Amino acid sequence: MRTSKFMLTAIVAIAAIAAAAPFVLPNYHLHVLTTAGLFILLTSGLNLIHGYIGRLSLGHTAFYGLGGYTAGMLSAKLGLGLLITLPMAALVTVVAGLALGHITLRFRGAQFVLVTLAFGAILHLFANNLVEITGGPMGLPGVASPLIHQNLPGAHLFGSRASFYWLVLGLDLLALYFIWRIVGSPLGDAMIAVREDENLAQAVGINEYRYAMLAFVFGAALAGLAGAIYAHYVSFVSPEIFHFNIMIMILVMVILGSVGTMIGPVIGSVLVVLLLEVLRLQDAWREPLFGLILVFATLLFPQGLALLVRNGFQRLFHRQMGRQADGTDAPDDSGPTAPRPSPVPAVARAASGRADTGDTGDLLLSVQDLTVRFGGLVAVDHVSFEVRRGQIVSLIGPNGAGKTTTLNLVTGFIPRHAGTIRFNGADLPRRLMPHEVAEQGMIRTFQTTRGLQSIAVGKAVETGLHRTLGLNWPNIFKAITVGMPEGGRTARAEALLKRVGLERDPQELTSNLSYGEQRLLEVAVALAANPTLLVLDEPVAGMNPEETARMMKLIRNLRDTGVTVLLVEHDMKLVMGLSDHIVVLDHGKRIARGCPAEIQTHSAVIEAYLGRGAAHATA
Amino acid sequence: MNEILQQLLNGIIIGSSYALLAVGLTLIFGIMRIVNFAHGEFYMLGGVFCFYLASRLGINYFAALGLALVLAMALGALLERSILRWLKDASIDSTIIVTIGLSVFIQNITLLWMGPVPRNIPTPFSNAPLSAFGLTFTAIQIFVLLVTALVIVGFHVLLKHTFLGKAMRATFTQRDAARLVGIDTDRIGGVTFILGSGMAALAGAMLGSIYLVYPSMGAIAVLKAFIIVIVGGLGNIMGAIVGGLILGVAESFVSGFISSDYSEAIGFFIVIAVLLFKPQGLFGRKGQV
Repeated sequence: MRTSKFMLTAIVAIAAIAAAAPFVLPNYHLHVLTTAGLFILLTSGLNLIHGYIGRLSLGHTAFYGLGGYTAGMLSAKLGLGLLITLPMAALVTVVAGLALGHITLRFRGAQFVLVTLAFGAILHLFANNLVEITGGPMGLPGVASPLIHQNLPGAHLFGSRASFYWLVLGLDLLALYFIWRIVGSPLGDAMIAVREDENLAQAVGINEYRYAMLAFVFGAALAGLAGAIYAHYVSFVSPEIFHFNIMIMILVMVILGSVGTMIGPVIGSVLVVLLLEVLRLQDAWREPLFGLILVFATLLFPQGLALLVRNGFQRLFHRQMGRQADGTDAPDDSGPTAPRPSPVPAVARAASGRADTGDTGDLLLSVQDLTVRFGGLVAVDHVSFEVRRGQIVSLIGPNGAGKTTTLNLVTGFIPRHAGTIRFNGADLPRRLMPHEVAEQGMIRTFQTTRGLQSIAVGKAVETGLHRTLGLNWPNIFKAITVGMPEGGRTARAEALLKRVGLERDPQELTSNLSYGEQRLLEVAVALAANPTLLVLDEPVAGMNPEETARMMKLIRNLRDTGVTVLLVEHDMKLVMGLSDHIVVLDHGKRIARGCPAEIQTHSAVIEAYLGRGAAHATA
Repeated sequence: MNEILQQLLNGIIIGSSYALLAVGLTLIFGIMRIVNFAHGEFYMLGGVFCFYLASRLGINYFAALGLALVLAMALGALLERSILRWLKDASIDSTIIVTIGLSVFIQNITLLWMGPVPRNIPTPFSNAPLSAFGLTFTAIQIFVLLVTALVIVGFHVLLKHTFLGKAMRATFTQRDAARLVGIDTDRIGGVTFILGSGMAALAGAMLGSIYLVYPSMGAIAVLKAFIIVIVGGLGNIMGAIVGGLILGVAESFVSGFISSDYSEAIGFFIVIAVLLFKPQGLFGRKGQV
């Protein structure tokens, strides 16, 4: 792509200019830039957690302080140098990040915010009170400030602050490189999917916890490094490093710069540091002004500067693009392409499997005595049913019959109280997480979703490919460090869009799609995950007749190409027209099963839908 | 034994003010969906206004107390009208950032106005220790306990037995449904913010009358309020009251029997323990919030 080549040139040029700065700038300016560089480490990490995973952590300074104290104590007490203190600070914060993430990542929304806040405050308190170890409120003086470069030839050419400046610049570039790799790879797509709709993400096999932890720990390590460098830089570390004001500051930088973009935190860090230097003249008014800027910047430009500028430009050029345009200038190494599955994977193996329908087909899903209670209510009561390979099986029943609950139980979104589920020849244990069920090949859609609202249509489908990409830890590591081959993901996504009949520009935002199109997109996302069993929850609810007919055709077509379908639906025309087998639930119990013709004349079914009198009348 | 009862009494006195503070925060969160980081500043302003009116302007303590409350609630009304209503449909993150900004602003303006030195609110109560049942206390402590208990009970009556209370509870449980039956949830939100700010201000004025007032007291108070709502279960009024009392008693026991250095730490240890063993809080239900 031409744009990415242009970007690359621009980045290299900026980096070169930045690296040359010590030769021309006086120490004071270098100091300001070094400070900005340290903040870039902090804000880029926070942005990965807040902007990509969608969790607002107010405990980020805990890692900054932890890194500072780790390096400070190793240097002041044991006399160790940078080469040991920096890696140790990173190691300690990674371990702390794993522990803290383990406790806090189970919370969402306001709870996550408050819990992380509490942890930051706890460490502040420890730093103040454990006087023997931390030096207490007075801090820990005597951290060595090694000026590495003074031994270099020609050291007189640049200022005394230069070595720290270069160190910070180097780490910034390294950090931004890794983040660029992450957000441009399927890892970034998975993170965005988690941010946009964690249920949908899990339903296509994305392990939410793993990606949240990855972002959290990576951010923690960056903050730890920043803290360690800071301790060496000022030769001192005190509990102030944990102060909530620093947390507020980095939050302002991220928000002001634009959450969820790579460049945003960089812009925000530099701008705010410069702003603070300007406000320094007004020392007394600095803090209150800062508060006001925070309030009004959030109210007036909630999307931040980077997006404000980008959207402005796009409007200028009438171009349509996704919000996370960072994904579009992603690493694009079209190196040796990975062995790539065909665009619509299940389809290829299809025809053979579909040869035999009806009761002779082999068992794909077998549910026995499935039961769940909510308080005193038995919502699903010893329900058993089977789905044979190559069939369309419908789960029907009046409102409140327990259909969606049954789907939630089968797909692992609600843990069952009793019963066994056997899928594709293996028992699914009771405590299986939804993404683990999806991993087995059972992929579902939802009746109502928040959906992947603010990303491009093509990207949305690509998130569904996650399961097929083989993202184990070695591959994740590879994706972060050297990048991941494109592997035809864009082409596969486009083929899937065509497959479901969604003729739209893959660059179009999902929020611009009509309701019916969004439901088709959901099916495309689910198909991308290569389902053995596709579970659809009311696929045509709220659709007009034309859209319904289109969806019916699609489902039949899927079955004919080898995808087994289990669906919950109220639209009887669709159910009777499509199903090979129907299971009827009422009040949490199975009251009938059979082929459409049997169900239509089944007295218990008629009674459930129309009441006792009707059943007698037709009987 | 006596010592234990003594610390229990001290803890309940502090805890009752904490409860008031946390109930205000819970109301605002439950009804307005705002995690209000500026809540502590209303606590601080309650104390600071009361100090200013009683000490600088020489107004009678009780009148100053009432006036301080009115001032804080008026400021609450102003902020709600001008800024928070702007945030009605904003994400929870935006509201957090805006209220953090407000908190920074209010705290630092107060700092410019009155300086960092902690001040004493002059009260008409004598400092002479009283005793009964072998316990020692001062008149102001009893006054504080009575006032906070009265307000909490009064608030309970308001919530359970008035039309406004019913509307507030409806909005708390199901905002959209409340709107559907014709409740003006915006107005309920406004009333809630004023009431909640008033509760925080009263708590600040009360504890400020026993201890000291200073511009940064709100920053500590809001942390404590957050601890309480995590412990009690986010969005649960009973949890806020019980959590407030637990925190007050725990702090008082730690400073009485261990060291006052760690009285502030105990809250965080309680938080960790609760999170590890009952992550939804003592009164929280699973899946809430």
